[in-house]
Amino acid sequence: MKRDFEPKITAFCCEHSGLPSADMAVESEFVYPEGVNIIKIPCSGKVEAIHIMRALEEGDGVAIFACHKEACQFLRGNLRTEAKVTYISKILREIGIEKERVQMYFLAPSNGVKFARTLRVFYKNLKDLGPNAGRKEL
Amino acid sequence: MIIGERKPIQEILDMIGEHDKILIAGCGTCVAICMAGGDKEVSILASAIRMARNREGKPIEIQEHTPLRQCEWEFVDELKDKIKVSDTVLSMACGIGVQTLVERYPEAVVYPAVNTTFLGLPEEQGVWSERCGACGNCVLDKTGGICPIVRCSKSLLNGPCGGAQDGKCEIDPEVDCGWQLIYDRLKVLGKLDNLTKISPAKDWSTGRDGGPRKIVREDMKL
Repeated sequence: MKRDFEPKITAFCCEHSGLPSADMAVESEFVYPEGVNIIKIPCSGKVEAIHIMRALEEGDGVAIFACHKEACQFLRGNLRTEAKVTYISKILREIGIEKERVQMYFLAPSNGVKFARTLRVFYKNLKDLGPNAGRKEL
Repeated sequence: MIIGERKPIQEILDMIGEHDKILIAGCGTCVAICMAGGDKEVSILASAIRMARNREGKPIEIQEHTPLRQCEWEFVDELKDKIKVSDTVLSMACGIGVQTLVERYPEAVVYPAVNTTFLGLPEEQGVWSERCGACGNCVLDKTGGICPIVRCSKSLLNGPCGGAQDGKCEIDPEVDCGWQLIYDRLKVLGKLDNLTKISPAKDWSTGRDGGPRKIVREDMKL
């Protein structure tokens, strides 16, 4: 079953780092998995715990692409969301869902290579984990 | 304000048991400010419960509603229709909210999803600490505005015990000695002589030792 399984990923992308990197990946034809739901956000700090939970209810994995630490345009947005991801990990552990389904990545604004490579690795890891057991029945 | 903390999710799931239609009722006042039971926390808990139940192959239908306050009749009346169609109500308010729902809706099964912890204040974003023991007989006038009931680990009323070291309590080096705080404050106020006045044994009947408390104001009754 795992072989046919296509993980559904939501990627929250900060418009100062993740989003330009995603654009560069597309323009440069760096391959990343099809069907990733890219959501533009003004700062990774705008991602709330409930956004991550809802995205996970609808899919198999959530990736957050944020600016490098100490390079946040809003000073601490990326650090605050890193703490939210830790909080969500605890909730996921409590309910028996693999915490590896939620990942946060820090990258520069023009790193299409890293963006595409990271998503490929994340996709493969999710494929190995299998479908999210907590996901809504389709 | 009243400070609370969400219960472990497994404990909440055990309360829900096999019920498959529940209402999670938050409260928009104290527990919203301390991020334990406001509308955001209601949504997060609902999502976690749905995922936990999907994982077990037992999907659950969850309604969410957060009145501005869960401790007054007028505010909990808006939950009426949702409670009517739910097997169980999970209250994310403090214990007062839970009991308000129980009294207003005696036919409903109401469970607490939050542990009511203490009366306190947010020291900073994400940090809350106790300030009042609700003893019913305030002594802050004598202690420079610092409560010896909750700031002193032993609730001493006539100065510190012998266990404090460098201004810290013997129970934990991270905890300030309440009486050191009182001394420092009275010194700033020029009222150190307050410390020479003996406080008689406190009448705890105004606190928890006096049984359930009640205030009646005849002039306010309708």
